Amino acid sequence: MFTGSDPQKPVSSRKARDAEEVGSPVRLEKKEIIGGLACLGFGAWLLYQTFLLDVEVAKRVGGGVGADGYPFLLAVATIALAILLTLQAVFGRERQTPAEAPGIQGNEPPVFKRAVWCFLSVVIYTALLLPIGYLITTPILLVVLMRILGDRRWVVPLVNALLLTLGIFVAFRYGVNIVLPEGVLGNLSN
Amino acid sequence: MTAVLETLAHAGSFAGWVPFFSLVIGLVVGILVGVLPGLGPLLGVIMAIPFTFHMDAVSGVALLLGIYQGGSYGGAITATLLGIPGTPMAAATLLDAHPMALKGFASEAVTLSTLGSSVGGFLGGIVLVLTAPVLAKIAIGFGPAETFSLALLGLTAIATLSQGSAVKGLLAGLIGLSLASVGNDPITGFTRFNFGTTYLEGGITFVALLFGLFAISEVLLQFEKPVRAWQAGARIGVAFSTFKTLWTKPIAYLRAALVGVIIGVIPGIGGVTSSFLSYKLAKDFSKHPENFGKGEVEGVIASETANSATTGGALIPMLAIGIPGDPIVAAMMGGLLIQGLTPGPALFFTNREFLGGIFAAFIVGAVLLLPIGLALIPLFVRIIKIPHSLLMATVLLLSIFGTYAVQRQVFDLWQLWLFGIVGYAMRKGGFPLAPLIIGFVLGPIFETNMRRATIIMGDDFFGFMIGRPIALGVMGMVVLSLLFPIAQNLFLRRKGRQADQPA
Repeated sequence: MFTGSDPQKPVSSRKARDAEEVGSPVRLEKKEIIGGLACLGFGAWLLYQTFLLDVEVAKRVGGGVGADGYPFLLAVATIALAILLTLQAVFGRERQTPAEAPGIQGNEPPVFKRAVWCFLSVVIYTALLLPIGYLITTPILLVVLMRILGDRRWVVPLVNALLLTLGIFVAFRYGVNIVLPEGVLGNLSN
Repeated sequence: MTAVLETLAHAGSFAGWVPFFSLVIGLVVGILVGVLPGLGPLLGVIMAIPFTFHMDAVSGVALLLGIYQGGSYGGAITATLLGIPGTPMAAATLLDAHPMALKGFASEAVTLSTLGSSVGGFLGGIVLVLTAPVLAKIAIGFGPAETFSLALLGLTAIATLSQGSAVKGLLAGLIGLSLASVGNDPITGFTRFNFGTTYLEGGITFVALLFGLFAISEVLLQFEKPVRAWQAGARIGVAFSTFKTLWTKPIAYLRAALVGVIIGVIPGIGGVTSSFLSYKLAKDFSKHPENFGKGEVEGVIASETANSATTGGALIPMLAIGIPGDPIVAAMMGGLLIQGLTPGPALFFTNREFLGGIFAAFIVGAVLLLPIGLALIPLFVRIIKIPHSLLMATVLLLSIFGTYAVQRQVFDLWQLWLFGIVGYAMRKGGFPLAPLIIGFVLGPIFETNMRRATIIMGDDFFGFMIGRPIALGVMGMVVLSLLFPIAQNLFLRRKGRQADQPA
């Protein structure tokens, strides 16, 4: 593995090799390139969808930019900026500063799996919410989420989950006049 | 002046138990979300929007204003006691408030922060009341070219002046504008990008977008890396001795408020910059700059007063022109739109009662911040100990059912998860979210006025623009805002090269 201090040893990584070139440093920021390509993909998809619009149904009103012209302009601008971003990532010198201030977080490394489990849990919850109902599914979801965050107890999280479920139910029922999905409990009462 | 008096004559619409208690609840909730780790005034405002659906307009907006004002201050409590800013806006406050607390003057530091916030909010409110009606009277004569230029300025300014890459900011803004084009075309009514489903004919659900981008993405990020538990053991009281700074250091308060309001009016800058700029100015003008960073009273006054005055400044362009200057104000604007009120100059002529009530709510809120903030600090110090998992679960449930409450359809929840993933991916990729939400809110104004302007101008672009000096001037500012990051980059590179050169 190249150490950067011994010119006799072969260079095994492109990044280290690039760092060694004098006069044309190339810094590959994988995240930046992915971001640029994702935006390029979005712009291209928007452009394609714009071409599919059947604006003969709504003729342009007195000229100017029409119902399809406006998203066309947005798509072209997006593609142009996305190409610029990708080129900046490939050829840029400075590292971009984070767009958002970092959160007030501890020193432990991020665990991506926890975010994935959280997302999967809430998607399943959404699918079951209407047929089964809020009062049954919500405490289960909350206990699952607390366990994902590492709380290995059962009693305290369950009590917290039930209290929070009831609190939200009351807040929406009497604060916003929204009846949350009843599911099987509604069917039983009928 | 007539415009101001005509609006203020309707301040009585705030006089009632419901608007008053909505404001008080908003202040308490706002301070709470400012204190609690990982929340903040933006999430607080977003989560409160569904609760405003069944309230009258003045009470609903009073609730949101209270959260905005309280949240802008709340982070100062943890900044003072723990040395960690509860919100980014309190980062400058920390520089002197925490050293003051460490020297045994925690009560003085907290009282001074609260006083600064209250005074800053009050002075910001006075400027809001005096300038917004006047600006609206000027703006009512704006045509499509002027309105489009202002919307473009709002978008480019927030994309290029806020933190991070300007290109990413502009891309986020374009994505926001694109999302706003889903549904019925504002000029012809032609349906675009609904993919054959009736659910999207009215466009993307704003609340789902807002909750998804900000709340769900935050929950996912905090599941990935939870915030550390905070413990505060200090006993805090009210230090009435600090009140004398009102007459011993009046210039400090006034200077900070002026900085805060001016920064607040400019889109994309916000409370963080205003508090640091005000802090720097206070240090530059001080007879003892060496005391800053060691518990200097003027340091705390400068940062907290500016930060709170910014809230008043930020409301001026939103109410008078319909251009939100930051994501919190954009969220509030969404709340107004849901109430059937379109922010902009016309509001000052069609709905003076509402505006008079809002102005009264803002100023009363700034005044009430002082007693409420001071009285509840011992409670807030205990609340910091709430388990983080419970906090995130609460945010998640409020996001889900806040979205469901809009139209009571599960399709909105699928939109919520989609935008949650989009927001999460954007934050991981270093893309700012603020330009996206502002692009979405401004989208209809932007498109309508752009298309109208192109219809009117026909083939004579230059002749059209020459007759519109305001639009030309604003377009000039757009160009400047686009050139600003390039100039900044060149300046920093030059500075870096000079630093690298041997002495």
